[in-house]
Amino acid sequence: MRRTVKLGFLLAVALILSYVESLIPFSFGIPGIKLGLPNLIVMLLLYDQPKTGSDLAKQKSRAVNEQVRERFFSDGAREALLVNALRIVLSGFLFSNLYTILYALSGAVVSFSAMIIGKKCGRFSMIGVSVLGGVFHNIGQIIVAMLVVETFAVAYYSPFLIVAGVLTGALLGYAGMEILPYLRRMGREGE
Amino acid sequence: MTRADFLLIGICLLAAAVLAVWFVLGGREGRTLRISCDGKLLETVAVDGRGLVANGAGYYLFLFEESGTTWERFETYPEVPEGVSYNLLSVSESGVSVEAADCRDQICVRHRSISSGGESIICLPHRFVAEIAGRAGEETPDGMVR
Repeated sequence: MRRTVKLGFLLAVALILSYVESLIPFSFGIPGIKLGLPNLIVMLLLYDQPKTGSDLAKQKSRAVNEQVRERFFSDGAREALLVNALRIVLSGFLFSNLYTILYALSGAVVSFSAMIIGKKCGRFSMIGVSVLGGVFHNIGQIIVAMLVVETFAVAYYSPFLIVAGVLTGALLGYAGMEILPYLRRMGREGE
Repeated sequence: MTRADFLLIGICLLAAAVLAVWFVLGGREGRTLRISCDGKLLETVAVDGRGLVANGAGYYLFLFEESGTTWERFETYPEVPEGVSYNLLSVSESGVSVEAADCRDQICVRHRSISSGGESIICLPHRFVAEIAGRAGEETPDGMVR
């Protein structure tokens, strides 16, 4: 139950960040560049797990160990996916339209997959995972734009979008690292 | 930050630099402005190395009606008929830009003007594309999907 409260709280924060982002004119005349503030919440959820698979494995018997290993998506990943999908649909209906929802979902799916794989391989810190998310979000959107308008011309913007993804990703990753301890503490209070 | 982080950032920046050099080198020659909708080529305007050839300059008004897409060139800023979805493209020596459109997101209108090869303005809601291709008759550096 406490977990549900926390997810609801983070969803609300993610919605506010979506709104704040829609207010900031941060485009430089190049379509597709944005800060990706709501991704901060996705990152926090990915890392804020009550017990990670490996922690559980250490504590419990071999049978549980194998069960945990079988699951590709950790608890954090499933919660992050849930909150992100809800955030996109809700903010889409609140601040824009169905069309934007589909466009945002495509970017989110690619970026989320990249972050999950990046985190799974275990070599990246939060900053690395966040950079992966930023870069792949932009790449995903370029690919969708190419498919929709049936031209490769959009690829011209890929260098700008990759650099933007690295910058925003690194900043958000750093912010996530700073915020995570507080979020963990918040979960433990009152226990 | 781990070593993998730095490696990842390095690779991303390197890839961006390589792509940027590729596109800049690909876009130096004389070019054509190609305007298409739904992947269908509507109009081409010849463009020289720096700016745009004067005889192609003007305003191009594209109207998207149920019966099909029609377009017309104007010397001066035209009046837009009401109740029809449209993109108004301005072509001048300083570049190509979308002056007005009735699309929902207005991304094409806010887009800065384009002038070098490979650049494009895209209006996703109307599936409308104005792009500057490489040398006349040649495709953009990486070709077109039809």
